[in-house]
Amino acid sequence: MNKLEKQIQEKAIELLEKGEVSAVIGWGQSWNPTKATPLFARDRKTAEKLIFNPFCFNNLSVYLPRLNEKVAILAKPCEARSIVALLAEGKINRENIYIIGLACQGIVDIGKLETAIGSINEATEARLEADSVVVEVDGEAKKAAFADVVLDNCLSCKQQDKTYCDVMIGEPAQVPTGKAGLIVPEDADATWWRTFWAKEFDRCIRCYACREACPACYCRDNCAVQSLRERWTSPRLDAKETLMFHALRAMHVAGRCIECGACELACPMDIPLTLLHRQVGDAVRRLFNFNVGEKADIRPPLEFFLKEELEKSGR
Amino acid sequence: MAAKIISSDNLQTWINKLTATCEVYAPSQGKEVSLFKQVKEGDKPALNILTDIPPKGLIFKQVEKIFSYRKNEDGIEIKQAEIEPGRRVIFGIRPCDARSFTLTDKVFVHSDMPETHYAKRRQQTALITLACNDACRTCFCTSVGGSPAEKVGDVWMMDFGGRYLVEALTPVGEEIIRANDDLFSKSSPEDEAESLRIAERVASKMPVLEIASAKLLDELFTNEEFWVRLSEKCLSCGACTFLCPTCYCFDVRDQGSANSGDRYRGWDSCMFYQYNRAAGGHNPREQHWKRMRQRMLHKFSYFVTQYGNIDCVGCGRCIRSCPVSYDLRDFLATSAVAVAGVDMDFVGELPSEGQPRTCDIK
Repeated sequence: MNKLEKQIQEKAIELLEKGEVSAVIGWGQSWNPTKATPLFARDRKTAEKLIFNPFCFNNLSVYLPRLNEKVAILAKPCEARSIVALLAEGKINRENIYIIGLACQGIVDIGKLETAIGSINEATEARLEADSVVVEVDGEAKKAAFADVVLDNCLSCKQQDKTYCDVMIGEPAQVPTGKAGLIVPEDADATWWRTFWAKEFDRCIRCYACREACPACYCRDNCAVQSLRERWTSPRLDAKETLMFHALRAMHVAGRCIECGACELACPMDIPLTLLHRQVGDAVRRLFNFNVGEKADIRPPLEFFLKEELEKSGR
Repeated sequence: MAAKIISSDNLQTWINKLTATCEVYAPSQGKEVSLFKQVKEGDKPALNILTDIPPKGLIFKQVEKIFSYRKNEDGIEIKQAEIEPGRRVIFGIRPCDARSFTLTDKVFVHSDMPETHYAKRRQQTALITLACNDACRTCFCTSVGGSPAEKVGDVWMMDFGGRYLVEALTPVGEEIIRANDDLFSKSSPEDEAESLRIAERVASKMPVLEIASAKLLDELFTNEEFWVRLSEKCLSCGACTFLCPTCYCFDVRDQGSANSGDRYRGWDSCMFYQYNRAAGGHNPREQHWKRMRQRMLHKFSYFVTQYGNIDCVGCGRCIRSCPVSYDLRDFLATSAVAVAGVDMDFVGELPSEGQPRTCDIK
């Protein structure tokens, strides 16, 4: 157990035993050391199982709109930004959430890790050693540079020293510098993108794991693509229908998506969804000069309409 | 027919010859995912992996048209959708996946109302099973009635490193081997002994999980606290059920107008909110813990009561693919303890006794 984990557990136990919250949402060890699992600690015994390491990839804020009790949540900069975005949209009640900010040094992208060292399904141990991620598979220690396997989102994270929280644990950490995993050619045009996404979405099985893992996708059981009243999609399963679903989701979370990569990490088919959301995000930043998850008192730009915008558009 | 031996080189020749007479599907390792793909002559299948996606969809399609309808002067004309003709072989299917078809057969083939598309595809598809030489960390077939060397399918094979032991299990299997008889040689009693040793070694790598009886699990139905705790971190997506070789729930949807259109049938998932929603809006499984309960009890209780087997083959894909790393084995362990009336200890997530719980997804 590292120092940070000890502090997290102590804080969680304190909050639970004082009765300030009914649960502390964090991460625990799963069957695989390279994939932490969300953990709902409701007593000391469970709180002592809380962990924090670069394998805690789930964005825990996804649970907040579903709960109606007072909980504490461990918040990396990703969770913190999602919480701010959810507050801005009025989807969660600030009084019901105690935010434990965490100094995060970056999170491992399982997809990149598997590209670097091969399948992690048989991993028995995983750790960060200096600048390397070390994973033991079948008694063999496999190594990858942390900068090469960290989430793209972490490379541009500027949140370490201003994580939105009630209490901060750990000193602001340094995230690695490196290159994004998927480089889009500079001359990529609509045809390039159409070919690219047709190939990627071809393996989509429509399990909706991307949607369910997304903190911004809170329509939950009323998602347009599964609506039983209005039929927005065809019952057929083909590239066109799949693109319709992903495009619909991308447009719906435009200006609300913090590009944390939870959708991509949730995808059992390894579809590079973050790329789609980053592209839409870039457009929102360009058009509205708006950064998601920075201020809780500004509504997302596509949620309201200004008369000046109509005048500016010249229609 | 006695078991035979085939060399690795001849095995590839055998696959090539099969592709000349029928569609052959075999494990293929793609950049992102592994799945069963049609083999063209000369392709080398990835026989050493358990595919990320099971071969279920080759027989039970994710979405398919059942029929088209059209109104005319005489009434309504119904045209049944046709299925692909021709024989198919699934080569190198693992015993767990082969077993999954025998379980789903109980519902779709050996029933009062057979599912014609499934039954027909099943009939025209031969399974060439490859026993497992190793077990993944997520494998638990021995706990749910299977085994890494289970003799299931039409032909059974075991890798001896450089050569394979091959045995026909059905008349279809015998025919497949007889058609290429020159590729095989005789096996010895020592080969038989070796296969048993391998089977035992691989089986011993898997833990034996305690699973509560169907009846006791059914009695757990009313223990709301148990199910709420169990499903707390579940996101309610369909990854587990869509990658499960045995999940067979489906939905039927029409596309078209009152005058003409098509009817489609496609996979459904009990994890989805819409799964049980009825006309008029009533939903008996509105909260996601009720849907989790349905998934678990269907596999480990209702199916057992109705058909005599656990409807899980222990392939572990639900564990590997879950976005929150939910482990089905946790359910087996905690439910076994819960039915015994002892305090349950969720692996890592035991809430305090008597605390009010509200995490229902509405």
